Amino acid sequence: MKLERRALKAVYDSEIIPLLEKLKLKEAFEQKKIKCIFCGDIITLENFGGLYREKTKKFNIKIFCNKPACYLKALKENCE
Amino acid sequence: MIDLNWKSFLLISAGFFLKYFFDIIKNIESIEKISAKFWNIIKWAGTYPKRKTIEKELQGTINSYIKDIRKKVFFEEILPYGIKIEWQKKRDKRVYLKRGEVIIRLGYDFDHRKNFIEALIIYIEESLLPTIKHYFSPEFFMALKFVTTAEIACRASRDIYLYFLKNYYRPLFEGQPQVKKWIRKLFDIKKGGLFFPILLPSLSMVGRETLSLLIKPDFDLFQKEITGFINFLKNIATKRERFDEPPLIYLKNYIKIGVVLVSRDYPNFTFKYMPHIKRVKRNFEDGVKFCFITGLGFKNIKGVKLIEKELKKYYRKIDNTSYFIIEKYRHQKLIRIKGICVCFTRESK
Repeated sequence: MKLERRALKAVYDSEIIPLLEKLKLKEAFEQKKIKCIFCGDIITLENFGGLYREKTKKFNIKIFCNKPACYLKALKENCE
Repeated sequence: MIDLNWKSFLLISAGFFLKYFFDIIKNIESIEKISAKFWNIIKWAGTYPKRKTIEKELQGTINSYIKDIRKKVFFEEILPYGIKIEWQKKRDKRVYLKRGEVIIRLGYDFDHRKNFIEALIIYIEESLLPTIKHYFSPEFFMALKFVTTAEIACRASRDIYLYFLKNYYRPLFEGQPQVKKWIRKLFDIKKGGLFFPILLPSLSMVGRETLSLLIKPDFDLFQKEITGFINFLKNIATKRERFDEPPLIYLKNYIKIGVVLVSRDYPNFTFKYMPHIKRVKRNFEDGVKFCFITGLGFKNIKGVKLIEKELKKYYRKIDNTSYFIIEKYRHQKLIRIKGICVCFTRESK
């Protein structure tokens, strides 16, 4: 019995900066201008939790921190 | 003589080796788990082996639990997909991110429980009953996802389960008493061994039937019926061992389910499970679409198998036989009881 597998997108620790660079967010990140969309904490390499593309707008990337509550809110916003 | 012994010894060992080899080949998850261990040994070589360790471990573990759960339920539609970690790599020129798609961070130096739980939650979010989830109220579906996630976390390890409860339970249900109420009911059903063998397959089957009607179902009525159905199963799960037998048939507009509990035999009859057979037949005559026959313990498992054999002559059995285990405290001792559940539809063969 073979399972059809669905992709779960993930980023490894060391690839966060290149990912932000591709999204043209590296500068803002280094200047500590990026805040968690839910709790408002400044995002650093230590507390980076993930990101998502907003459903409603054409191209808008939102970043959240690594708190379980923020992670769950990000999922709630996107997976429903 | 010695030569012959050597030959037979070699043949037997080759046979065992081949069987073991094919078992592994058939079960890709176990290969992934083994390869995770291999990558972990050479983690000092850089980030690639570390990344591979996480990837193989998560894929191997979660997919093997999913397969295990799928054996317990009748329909693969309940958890139709497996999980595959897709890394965003440096060498990819662009980031392909669809609307509503989330990229999560996974790290080797993190708490491995966090990696596991976050990957699991996102998987369940997308994969549990995907075709019919829109028919459920958000609170009910949230509770359903929670109980399924908790079950998999619990199988992974007690440590992961407690981490999940402590860090994700509170933020998830803060200020949502309705969801908590659902969770309590669903946990009662799970304790009685009816969550995977009866509840999830019923929802899946009812959803499939409703979808096939091509008429938009009355959402409010459907919700009401689901509430009633959950209470119906909860009554069976909690009152199972008392004398007052709860109703065993739930006959409404959308949900038409019957349950037959095999907990005793009737020695006065020529076929000692005849009353159960009659009950199933009566259920179908009354309009039940799916009838579940379930029993706990060695003797009743045997009984259910005999009933199944007899019923196969008249009705269509739904796919697999579901085996499950429930845990109960008796005289302050935790005991594990094996159970069985089979399902028939009224469509004749």
